[in-house]
Amino acid sequence: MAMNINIGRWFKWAVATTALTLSVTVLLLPASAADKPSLEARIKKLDDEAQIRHLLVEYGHALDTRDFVRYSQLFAKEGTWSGSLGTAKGPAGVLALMLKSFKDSPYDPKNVKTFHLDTNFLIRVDGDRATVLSKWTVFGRTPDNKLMPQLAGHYDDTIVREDGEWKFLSRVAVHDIPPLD
Amino acid sequence: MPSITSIRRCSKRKTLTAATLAILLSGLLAHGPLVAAGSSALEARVQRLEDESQIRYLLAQYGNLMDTGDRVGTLKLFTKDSTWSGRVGTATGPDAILEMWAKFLGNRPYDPKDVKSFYLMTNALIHVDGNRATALSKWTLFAKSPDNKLYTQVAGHYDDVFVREGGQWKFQSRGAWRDISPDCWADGAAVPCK
Repeated sequence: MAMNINIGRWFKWAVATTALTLSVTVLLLPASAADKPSLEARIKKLDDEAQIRHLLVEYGHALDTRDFVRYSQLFAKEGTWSGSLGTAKGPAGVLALMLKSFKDSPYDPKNVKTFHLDTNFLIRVDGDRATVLSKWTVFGRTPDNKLMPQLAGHYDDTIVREDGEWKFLSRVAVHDIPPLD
Repeated sequence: MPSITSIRRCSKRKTLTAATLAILLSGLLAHGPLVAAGSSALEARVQRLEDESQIRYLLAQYGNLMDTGDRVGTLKLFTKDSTWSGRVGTATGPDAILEMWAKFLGNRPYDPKDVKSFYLMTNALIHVDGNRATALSKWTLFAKSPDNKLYTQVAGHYDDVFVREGGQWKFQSRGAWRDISPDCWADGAAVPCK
């Protein structure tokens, strides 16, 4: 009889301790866990931003080195480029437009004529889609070998994740200074 | 009265139950906080990267809003008691800053077909420390000459302090300092302003 009473007390104590331990454990969890996206989702967003920054810079690099095959691969299947050279759609279309437009200005590492600065990235990621505003500034070499800014403008982009890779769905290259007539 | 054997059996069972419960409890106690500590360390690292990303965005946003002539929008990136300092002076609070800009920078409406100037924002060195951050960065102002040519007009650096206000990073103070004197356009070239 006495034993039964003891066991009863013991169980009460055990239940109380377990409840206390559980509540302490719950309290130790970050308070914000409930109203914040998961760590995985937050890391994914940062990862996406990093990949998009890479895409923006790789574009300029491919353009400056006239690697138009790589350049065209940065566009989605339905991706469009619009600007002073016209409009092209899809990697094959973009490749054709660029090969035609730059055929008289090949890349020579010993005699670089122009390059793009790509800056002021404003990247907004929303799932598998992102919108980006950024600036481009083209520097060139004067006949007497001086570095000079020549053209500047901004890019207005929609970027999508296609087969796991971020690609341009549309890139609009707007000229700001001097403006296009 | 229970027999000696039954007491022994009972106390054995009690010890066993107690041991099992102790293992379970210590497991909960040790495992719970350990996991929490591990994930909070990771969370702190993710938080810092997010903070840096938001501050980089803020630096570019300031340029974009100033370039498009939206000074009121620019000042929404500042706290109520923030300070802006530059060659033209120091002002505290969005209203005072706006007034100072109007007085010294003039009224520059934005026309997308006739962009007069824009800022390149580069070289951001961001240090986050909890709910406060500091940054050093460079600005280069490009402008359009009267004969429609692009030239670099003036350059300098920003010295910034940011605070997290209501979950959003804002400028607490911005020092906009000029490093290279402005150029004007004369005879088809950028030359020091007279």
